[in-house]
Amino acid sequence: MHLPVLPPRIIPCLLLQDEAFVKTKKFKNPVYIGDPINTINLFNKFEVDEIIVLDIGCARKKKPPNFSLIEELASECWVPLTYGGGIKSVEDAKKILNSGIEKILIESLIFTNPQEAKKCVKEFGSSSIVGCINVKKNLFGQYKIRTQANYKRVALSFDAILDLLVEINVGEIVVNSINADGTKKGYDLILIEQVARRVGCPIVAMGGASCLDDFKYAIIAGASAASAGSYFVFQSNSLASVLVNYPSRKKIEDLFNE
Amino acid sequence: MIVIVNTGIGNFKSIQNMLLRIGVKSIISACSDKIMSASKLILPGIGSFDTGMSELNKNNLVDVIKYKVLNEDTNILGICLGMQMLGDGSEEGSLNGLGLIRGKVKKFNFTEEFPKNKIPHMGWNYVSPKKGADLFHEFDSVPRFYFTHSYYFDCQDDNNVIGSTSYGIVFDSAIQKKNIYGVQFHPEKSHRFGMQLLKNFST
Repeated sequence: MHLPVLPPRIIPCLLLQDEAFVKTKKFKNPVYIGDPINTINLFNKFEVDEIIVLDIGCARKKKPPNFSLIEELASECWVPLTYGGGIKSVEDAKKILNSGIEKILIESLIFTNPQEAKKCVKEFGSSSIVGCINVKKNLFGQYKIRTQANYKRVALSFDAILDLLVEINVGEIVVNSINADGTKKGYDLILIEQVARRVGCPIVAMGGASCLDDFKYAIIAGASAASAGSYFVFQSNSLASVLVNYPSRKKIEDLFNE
Repeated sequence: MIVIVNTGIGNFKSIQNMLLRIGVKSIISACSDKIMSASKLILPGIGSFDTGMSELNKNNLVDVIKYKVLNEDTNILGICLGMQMLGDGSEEGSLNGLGLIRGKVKKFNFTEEFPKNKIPHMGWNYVSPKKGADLFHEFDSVPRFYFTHSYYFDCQDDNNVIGSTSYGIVFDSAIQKKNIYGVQFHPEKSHRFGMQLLKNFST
């Protein structure tokens, strides 16, 4: 049987802060994008592959997840939804998954409580748990990982952190470049390649997408899916004028069939 | 009323939401009385095989579901882990499945022949439907659905296969034996394609 090969997933990532969607640049200066429910509905109409919602306010202000808002988002969204932000325990994860979210994303928990992260994987299966690393390249070109929660550097080496993610057995890993966040200067392809070489699970590239070709480059570098924020919420060539958009099915198919 | 069997953790809320979009009311329950009075059953589930089965065992639902399906011919749709639980057992665990459709759940095992195929199989993929399968009624093009799984159902009888998907190997992504249906993918999160499939099942 010959079935056509589907193009990789192209995933809008939306940042939540105080019940509104915002977009940051290099993790700073959040700009208001829109009301969460309206924005989710716009992406529904585009029939996007998947959506990631990250509550950055939660992580930074050490607040618990906004469960009622999460449930509202899940019931509005008719494509798979990943939620991350403020998840501290198996109980939090269970509550979120039961409200209609497909996958939960853990980030700080990986470093603060890897045992609990393992428990989540054991309880809900790898395919429901997404790991995330926020990577900052220092002046010497070395990759260091920082967490949303305190923006502090994680003491472990880069490779040790990747090995920890493999040990926890997350279903996929979102690799987010802090240097590229909100810049529309393209993905850090070297970073993606480096992670892909070390881990076996799917990788989602995040940070810096500026044009359709960038998605393709990320996949060539070893990612299984490409995610972006600014690309889907701002007009092209802009980092300020809001315009929710998503490439047509045909454009995505042509991109990967060239 | 359609009853979505509460298997402890999982996608039942999304299923209920998608049913609401097509105007179908449902309840989520693990209570045998409710399940006995259901017009149709949906068996969802995420997580590991044994977790799912122990949840059914704990609530004494195995016999109830079997009775409904085999003696009253009530239609049942297993989704993801729910489909896997319709079979005899899984490589993932040691507990018995419901044994409603003969088959074993196996883990994807890719050799270097398919270096590109990562596990879990996560994302959208095509399902090639068997001609005349009522679950795939009125699809204009080859439908695509959202998958996220590391294990797949391997049907013993090819006649029970109503949908196939290619991921390194060609595996059984939709199965049916009379009133018993199972899909490996998530119709509740597969926008218009999922909506049509759930419409086909519930009407």
